[in-house]
Amino acid sequence: MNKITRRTFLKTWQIAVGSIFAMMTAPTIFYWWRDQPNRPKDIENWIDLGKAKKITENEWLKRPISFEIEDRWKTKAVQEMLYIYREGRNVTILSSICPHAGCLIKTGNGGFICPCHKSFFDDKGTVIEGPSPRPLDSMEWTVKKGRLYVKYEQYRSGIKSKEVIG
Amino acid sequence: MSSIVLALKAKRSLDKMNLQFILKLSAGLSFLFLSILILSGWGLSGGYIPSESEAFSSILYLRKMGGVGQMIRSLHFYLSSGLIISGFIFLMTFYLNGYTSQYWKQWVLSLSIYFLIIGSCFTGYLLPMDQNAFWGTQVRLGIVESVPVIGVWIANLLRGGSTIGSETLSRFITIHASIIPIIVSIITLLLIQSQWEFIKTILSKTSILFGTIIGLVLIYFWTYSVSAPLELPANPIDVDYTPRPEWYFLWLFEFGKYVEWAPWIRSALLPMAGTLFLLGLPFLKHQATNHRIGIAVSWCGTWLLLTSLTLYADRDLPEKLNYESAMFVQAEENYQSLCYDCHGKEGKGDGPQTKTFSLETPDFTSKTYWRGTDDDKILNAIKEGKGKDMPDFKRKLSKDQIYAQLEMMKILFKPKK
Repeated sequence: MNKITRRTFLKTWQIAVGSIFAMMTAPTIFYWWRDQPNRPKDIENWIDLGKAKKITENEWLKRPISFEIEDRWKTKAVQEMLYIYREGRNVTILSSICPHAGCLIKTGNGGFICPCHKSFFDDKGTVIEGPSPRPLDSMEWTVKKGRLYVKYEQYRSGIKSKEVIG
Repeated sequence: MSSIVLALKAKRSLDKMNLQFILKLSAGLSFLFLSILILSGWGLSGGYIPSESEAFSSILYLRKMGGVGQMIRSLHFYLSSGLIISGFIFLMTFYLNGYTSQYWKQWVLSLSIYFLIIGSCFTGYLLPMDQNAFWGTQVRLGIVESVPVIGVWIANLLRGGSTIGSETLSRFITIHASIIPIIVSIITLLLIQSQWEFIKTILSKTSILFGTIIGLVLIYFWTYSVSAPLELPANPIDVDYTPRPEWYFLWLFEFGKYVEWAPWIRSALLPMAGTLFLLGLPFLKHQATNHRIGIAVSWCGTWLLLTSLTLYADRDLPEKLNYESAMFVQAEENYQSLCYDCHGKEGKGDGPQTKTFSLETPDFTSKTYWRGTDDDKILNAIKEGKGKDMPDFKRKLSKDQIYAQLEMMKILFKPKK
């Protein structure tokens, strides 16, 4: 029979204690990882923006929208801002969240400005200057029965491609 | 020749003695600050409500009550900056003394504490839920998101989803007030245990004990009289707000401007490289004193340079208004858009609509008006309207905003005795 050396004992002991510690922390980590309730309700991404004809043409409008997200046992109304431009039957809808790090964009300089890190965008949303890795995120829209609907999505900050995260 | 060597050696040991003093002082201060942070944190925990709807109000209440309530907040706010400074001085002096190889265990433990403290600052920042807190956290999580591969995963884990919400508050306060303090305390105890003999000798010196008492009294007097900042409540659709990081991150903010073409450099590469370098110091070949001084000076110099550059670039930025000032400004703006028409530019009741419709608008600048009314009557008039001519504003203005209107009237219109 092999004698249990001190070395093997310590090693197994360390592994055992390590696994016990990992097992103790596992439930919390698992709960935090699995249960992430602050997301928009998946069912309703399409948000009603009102009668399409009523949207003023040829100027950028700032429109706050409100949608519900589930917040554990409650539903909460959350507000976000959109920029809408309508030219006849064509509509462009841009997100007001800067793709660089998440600040709110404001209009200015003939286009859009992000006050945080001074990214400048032209009036189509393309980056003129500044740290933003991609142009302002445009959102899908559709017109049903004369009303304009936008598919509201959240995109990952700081990367070159548009990646939906919520 | 030998005399020069001797002189240099003497100078070096003299430097070492002064460094020793700074090392001990910064260690002591760090421990003191950490303890007060935990104790004041317990106080704040008793008054703070980590719910999205009540977080701001609970902090505003502490601020308004003044006295010891706001003192606890001030202690927590200002000493956290103090800890960042004293911890940095400790680590820097430790490094300059060349202890990183010999005392590598203490180095790694101290470094871990420092990183955990930074984590505590990151999470604690969100808790008041004012504009500064919300947007600062929004940007920081955005930076975390940009880390390749695992960024979104980590950000969503911290945030409890894809938006900042009540789950975020709960997780942040757990990390800030429970997880990090417990781990930091365990590591601190380990450190103290390893240096106990030495610490015992220091604690027995009356000068140290007296100095601590005097220092505490000074800190308490000061924090009792200043108030920690608080801005307007968080507003996710306010496009005019310009967030800025806390002073100790301004250098990173400036650095980010230079690597905008690859944001992952700032969010992942720099922190990883920095951490690996610091943790790996004990394993590097022992560096000569001049070398270490050079590295230390260049790091501090870079930090100062980047921070000044960003402060200079922001010099035209309007100063961030505290809650009271911001509410006052908002009340003035509200008055202009909602009240001026009847009540006039100076509150005299001589607005354009009064003339047109022959209204009986009171004169806020007269003593008789103020004698014939009280706070509740004015608040009610704004909320529910008055008579047949004044509309109600309860749907346009929140309770706090209506109260701010009253305050504004008292400051601007009410005649002084």
